[in-house]
Amino acid sequence: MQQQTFTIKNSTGVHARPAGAILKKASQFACKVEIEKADGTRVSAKGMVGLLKLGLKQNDQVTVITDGDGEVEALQAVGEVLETVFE
Amino acid sequence: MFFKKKKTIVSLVSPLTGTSVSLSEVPDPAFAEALLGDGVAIKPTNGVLVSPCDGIVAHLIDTHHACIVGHDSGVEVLMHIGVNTVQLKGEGFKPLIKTGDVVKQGQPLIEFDMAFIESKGYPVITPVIMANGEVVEQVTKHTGEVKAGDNTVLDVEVKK
Repeated sequence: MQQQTFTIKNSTGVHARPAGAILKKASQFACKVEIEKADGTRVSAKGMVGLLKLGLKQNDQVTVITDGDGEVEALQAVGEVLETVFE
Repeated sequence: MFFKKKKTIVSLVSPLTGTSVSLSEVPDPAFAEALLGDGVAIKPTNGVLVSPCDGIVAHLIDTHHACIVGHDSGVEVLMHIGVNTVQLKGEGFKPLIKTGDVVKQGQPLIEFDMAFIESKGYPVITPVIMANGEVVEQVTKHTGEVKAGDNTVLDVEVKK
């Protein structure tokens, strides 16, 4: 299992388009990819509803947890999308 | 094959009155190239978004420009009013439901001020797409003139 904390950089937070980008990236990996917010809410990064439910805003800190095949690569790849500025 | 599995098809009606068109007409590559999910886009002629099926509001985005309705079959439909409308921070949108509400097909979900949104420079074309493509086997799309809550725009075959 791998985990690392990232900061949301996008000014409008994680709305539909960023959530779509995160789930597409996460879905490229076979391993489990989960995102946990500071309050302990944890969702799969491979589902749109879960990602939107987190309601992530700019500067929120989230922990990405990966477990399984390709967990190291998945952690970095998903982290990169989380720190991407979309607008 | 002697055994044919029975297919589960979920018919989704148009959430808006207007014209149903290909996603490729949406001026945002994330939607136009179906990167977020397959579906259609509706060019609305009035500003009332209704539910495309009986279901539950899986998520209302906090800036009120998009919501996801989940159907019993597991199909989840994302409706995103306009393009880049997250920037309006809720202005011009009036939600009539909240996350977790049980809704009926045709029930109004969000009212929006088309003239206001367009005056701010945002297109009102509304992608209606699969939020969870992993449960979807195939999507049949219907284009043309549509009435909200009435005409089917997507027939979704659910994976077994």
